[in-house]
Amino acid sequence: MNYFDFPVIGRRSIDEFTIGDDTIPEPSVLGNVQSTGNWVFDRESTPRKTTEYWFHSSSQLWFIVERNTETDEIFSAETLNG
Amino acid sequence: MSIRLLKHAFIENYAEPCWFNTPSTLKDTYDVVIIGAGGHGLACAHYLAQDHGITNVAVLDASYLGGGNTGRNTTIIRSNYLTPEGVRFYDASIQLFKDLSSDLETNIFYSERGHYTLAHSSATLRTARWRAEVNKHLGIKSEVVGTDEISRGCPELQIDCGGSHAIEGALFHAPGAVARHDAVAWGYAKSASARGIEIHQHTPVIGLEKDSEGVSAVITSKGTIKTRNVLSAVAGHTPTVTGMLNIKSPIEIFPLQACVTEPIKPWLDTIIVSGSLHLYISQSSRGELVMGATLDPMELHSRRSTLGFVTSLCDQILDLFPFLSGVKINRQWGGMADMTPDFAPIMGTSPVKGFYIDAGWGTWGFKATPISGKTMASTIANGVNDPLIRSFNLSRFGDFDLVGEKGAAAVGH
Repeated sequence: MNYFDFPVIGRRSIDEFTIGDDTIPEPSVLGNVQSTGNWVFDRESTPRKTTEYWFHSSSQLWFIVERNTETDEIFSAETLNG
Repeated sequence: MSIRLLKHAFIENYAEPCWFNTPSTLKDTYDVVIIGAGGHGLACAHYLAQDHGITNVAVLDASYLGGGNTGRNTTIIRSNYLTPEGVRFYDASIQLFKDLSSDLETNIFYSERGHYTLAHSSATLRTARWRAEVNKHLGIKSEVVGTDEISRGCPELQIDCGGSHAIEGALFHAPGAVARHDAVAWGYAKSASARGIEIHQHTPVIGLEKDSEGVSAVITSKGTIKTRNVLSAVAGHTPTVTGMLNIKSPIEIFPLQACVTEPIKPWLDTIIVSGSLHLYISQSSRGELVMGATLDPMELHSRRSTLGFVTSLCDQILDLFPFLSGVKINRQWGGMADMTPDFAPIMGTSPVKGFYIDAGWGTWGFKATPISGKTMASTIANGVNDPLIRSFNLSRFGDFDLVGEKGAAAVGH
């Protein structure tokens, strides 16, 4: 099982989290329907290092987690909003 | 070990005919290059030759034939989908599957079992009713059945399900079937190969090139191939391959795991699925119980297996079949499922002329093997999307014109 030391809540199994999407910033201008659709749906799902939103339901805290999507190695975790 | 097998070990010129060719070198140019020698890629090769007379084709695979999701699924075939587009498409696949053993001259062990999707709540029963009505409207045999009928179909099933989530009814789909997945891939390989199509295993694609007229070349570990038609049928590697042409898609890769028990006496002659308990189970012709569950909850580009998967799946299986508590798990494995937001595939033309996509098969690809091969072959041969797959084009996401098949996924994701 994969464990990691999280801020505030300490050492936790990753099974305790609901894993959200990549932290893709919203573009300042969405433009037409096509480009809005592409922003909403398109993903870059290749083996890579990425940052994701993770939700820990028992503490109701959101984290930003940096992870390798090929090895599942976690590099860092910060609470959302510091 | 059989004497026959032992004898072959000592014969230098192996007498058995090869199922498919394995040429050592690539030609400089092909009419069509298919990336991915899984069921879908090989089926497309077969239908390109059989239906359209196109045989100057190379099928490339980074690893061995049928070693990806083709050999990693739980082989369930059904057409009880939710949208008319989905139902028509998967029913056409079942029709092809039924004659496939004789068409390919290969026994694919197609076995019609009947398929129960259990409902543990009135909400699930409502979706079952919806699917049954859509299916019946399109001439597909699906009906909502009560617990008495479920017990008649599968007497071993514990209807109260351990007490906490009793079964209230089910969607019964009589044409539900299983088949031998390796045989499907090998059968298509044999047939395509006999018509002159080349199969190159252990030939990874490392790049794709395009010019003003569209896709122009495939760069492989064994050299560069000039071609004007490329099909990507690589499931979990789709984003990597489409990325070579800067084509973006909504596909996300999630691990899907499955396992089999030790072989036991035949007792389960139907297919049982529970969306609420996240499981599906059937018994193979060898007696193993073939079992799977939902996706792992995070994106991952790996085929690793986890203990957590087996323990949580078995926990749910025992709610339905407590007498299995003494049965051992023999093997488990994982695959990389290429998920789409609407649980429908992405098929057909792409923004780059001559580059075709057969992807987004997530957790539902095996059952579509014949029809995806046939429709992609017709799409490549004619350069326009086959009518049966028009609503599955990549462009539907930019147009907000999704297919909405999530309610018909085998298990909740």
